[in-house]
Amino acid sequence: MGEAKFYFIGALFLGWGFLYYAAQFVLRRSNSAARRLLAASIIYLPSLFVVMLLAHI
Amino acid sequence: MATEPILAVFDVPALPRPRVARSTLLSDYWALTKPEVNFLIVITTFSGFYLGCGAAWHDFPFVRAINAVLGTLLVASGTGTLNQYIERRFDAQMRRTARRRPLAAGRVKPTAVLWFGIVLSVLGSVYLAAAVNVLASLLAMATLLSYLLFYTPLKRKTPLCTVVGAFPGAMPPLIGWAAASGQLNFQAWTLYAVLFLWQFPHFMAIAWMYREDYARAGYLVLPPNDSARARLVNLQTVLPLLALVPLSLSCQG
Repeated sequence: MGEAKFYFIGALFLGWGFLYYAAQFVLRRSNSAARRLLAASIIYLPSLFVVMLLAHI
Repeated sequence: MATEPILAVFDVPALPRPRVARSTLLSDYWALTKPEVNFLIVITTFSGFYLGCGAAWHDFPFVRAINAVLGTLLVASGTGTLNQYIERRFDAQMRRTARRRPLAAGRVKPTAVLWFGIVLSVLGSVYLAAAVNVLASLLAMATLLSYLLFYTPLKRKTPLCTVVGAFPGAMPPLIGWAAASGQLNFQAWTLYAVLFLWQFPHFMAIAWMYREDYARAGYLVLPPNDSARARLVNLQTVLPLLALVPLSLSCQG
């Protein structure tokens, strides 16, 4: 798998996950949905940067 | 990072957590530096550095990278500390921060915290200038100043503070990039934009979870009116994310 493809798939997967929890939060606007969105945001950011680094090695 | 303590996510457990009785002076000062935010700062600063230097692993400047991350951490810790100094009275009125933040809980003296914050910030800025380069140091100082002079006071004035706070909050990868290459280019600003946009859904989640707490302490991070609040939360959660995902896909290369 090429590096660009690896990055693209990784970022897309992470982005979809983040979007999913954001949508859940907007639709329900509950504290538990907010907590899950917060957790998703905290997982998303370092993961995206790690995928970026891995794709550049 | 302009966002509020990330630890919040782990702090709403199903089981009641035993109150931490033993907090030493060391752990209190450690808590002042906002270690939970610093974790993300390390990752994003290092990533900015790595992508900015463009070197292969075998001639990667490790010492310079460590210096850049260390200097940035010092300034970020100083910023977090000074922010708590400024907000000490309000933090004491918030359930989320009253006990966890040593200053709000009255375990450390305000003057000591003020000096601790100043020393960390000055040390970090000088360290960056001496061990890395002047651009990285200037960017770190600009982050500190814009955070404390604009974002911190605006939190009590307008819900638009989030937008203002996202500018200093997105700086870590830019500082890393500048540390590696001594300059900033389009790619560096793309990383900046990623972090800028990321903060909105992140912070909306926190602001929503603690909306009563914020309101009680007199913060205006969300509008007091219910429907206006819902609209702003929706907008700031979804729109930035719809821009973030396509932007993140373009980051490669």
